[in-house]
Amino acid sequence: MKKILRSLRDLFLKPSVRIGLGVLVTGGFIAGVLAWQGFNTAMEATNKEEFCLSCHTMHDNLLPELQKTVHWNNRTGVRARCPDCHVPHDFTDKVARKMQASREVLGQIIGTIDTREKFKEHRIVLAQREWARFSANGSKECRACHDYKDMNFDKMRPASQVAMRKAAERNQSCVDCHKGIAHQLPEMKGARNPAFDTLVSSAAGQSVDAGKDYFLVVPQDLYADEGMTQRIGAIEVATQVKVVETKGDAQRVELALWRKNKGYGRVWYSHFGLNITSAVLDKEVAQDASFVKVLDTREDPMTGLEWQQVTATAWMRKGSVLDSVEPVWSIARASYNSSCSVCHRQPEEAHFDANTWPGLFGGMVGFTSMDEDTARVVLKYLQTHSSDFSKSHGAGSPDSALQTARP
Amino acid sequence: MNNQASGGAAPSAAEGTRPGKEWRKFLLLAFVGLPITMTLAIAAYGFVVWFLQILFFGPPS
Repeated sequence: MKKILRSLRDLFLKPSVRIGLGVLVTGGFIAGVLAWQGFNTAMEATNKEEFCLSCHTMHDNLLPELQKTVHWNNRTGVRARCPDCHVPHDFTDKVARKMQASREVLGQIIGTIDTREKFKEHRIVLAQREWARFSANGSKECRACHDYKDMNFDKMRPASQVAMRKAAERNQSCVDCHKGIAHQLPEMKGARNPAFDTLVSSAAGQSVDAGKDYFLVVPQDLYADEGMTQRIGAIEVATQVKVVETKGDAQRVELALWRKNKGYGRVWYSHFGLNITSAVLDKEVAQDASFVKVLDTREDPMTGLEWQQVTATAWMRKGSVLDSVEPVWSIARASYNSSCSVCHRQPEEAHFDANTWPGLFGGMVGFTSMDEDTARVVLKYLQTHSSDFSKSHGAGSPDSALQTARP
Repeated sequence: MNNQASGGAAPSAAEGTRPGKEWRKFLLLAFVGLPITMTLAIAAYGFVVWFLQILFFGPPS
């Protein structure tokens, strides 16, 4: 070790005896030029589409998807290549991104996403990483080609104008709205809203008394037995239940809900006449008179359907209820406000009634990045805060007018 | 880069100043040693920036 240090010191500090200074400097200069050029060439080589596509994950999954889009092939012949969008253009961010790719190389070696199935399953994680990058830098890479300041809004279709002018005003990140523009959107199945984690941990600490009412913070499976082996259905988030008893890991709860007396009566709703899903039971169980007790029967004048007030008890895993539903709604409210206002002003909750919301919401939720659990909570939040429940806002109040994307 | 060049306090002129030896050292340093060091330094810089992004800054804005 000492010897190496000494020879290094000699190398740098002892003047050379036989080679002239000019030759040394010139040689060093040439070496420097070559090294820098070589470095840039190598950097550029890793920034070529061929390089990206040389690994089969990219070639088999992402290339065919890109080839279907306008970014691959269009009338003007301007093309976006992988690094145009996915590699930052500034030196520091670029080098950091290149080093970050060590993770991708590792993934390729151990085969994290080496089949189409695995890739699709994992896609949400990758997509969220890329979306986070784009929303942090305001979609800088998109805007290398499509910048607000160079857009002629008058040439856009009227519907686009409204959205684009607003976006330009707010200097909004492109992927806020244009997710999945060059690749397929991930399935939201694997996505998780981290807000639920706090909810689940506070539910774990909730002390539960038998005979009191509580609210589910996450959807749960329902079982017929306390050993939780025989599954009979599932209960939705934010559903109100009465806890009957707790045994080990299991909790017996009483449901008091409504259902339509039509078909098998599998889907149970929280209120008479309103399609706010609270539990879904298996067919046999829903028809089992020893399990389901019918308390009341009423006809809905709107549809002519007969509704039954029903009650039943079932087992579920303990530690997933809270004594207040408000924490659940605050997550839903935050998610509703942030996800929907990205593209338009979100309508007031009470602008629609509980039976209108599911259709509207179902048509819009695909444009957001909400995962499945969040989407269910948000829909339920909207339904239970709809005009059926609100007294202060009528459907016609000017404040609650839905802003559509038309001039 | 190896250490037999100057053995001790009194440098032996015959060993350390053979022109071949000096040229070899010079070329190795200029065309191999320093370019590798530069690449490593840039890689290290990239990693440092990445880790800082993970820990403190978040993705670049």
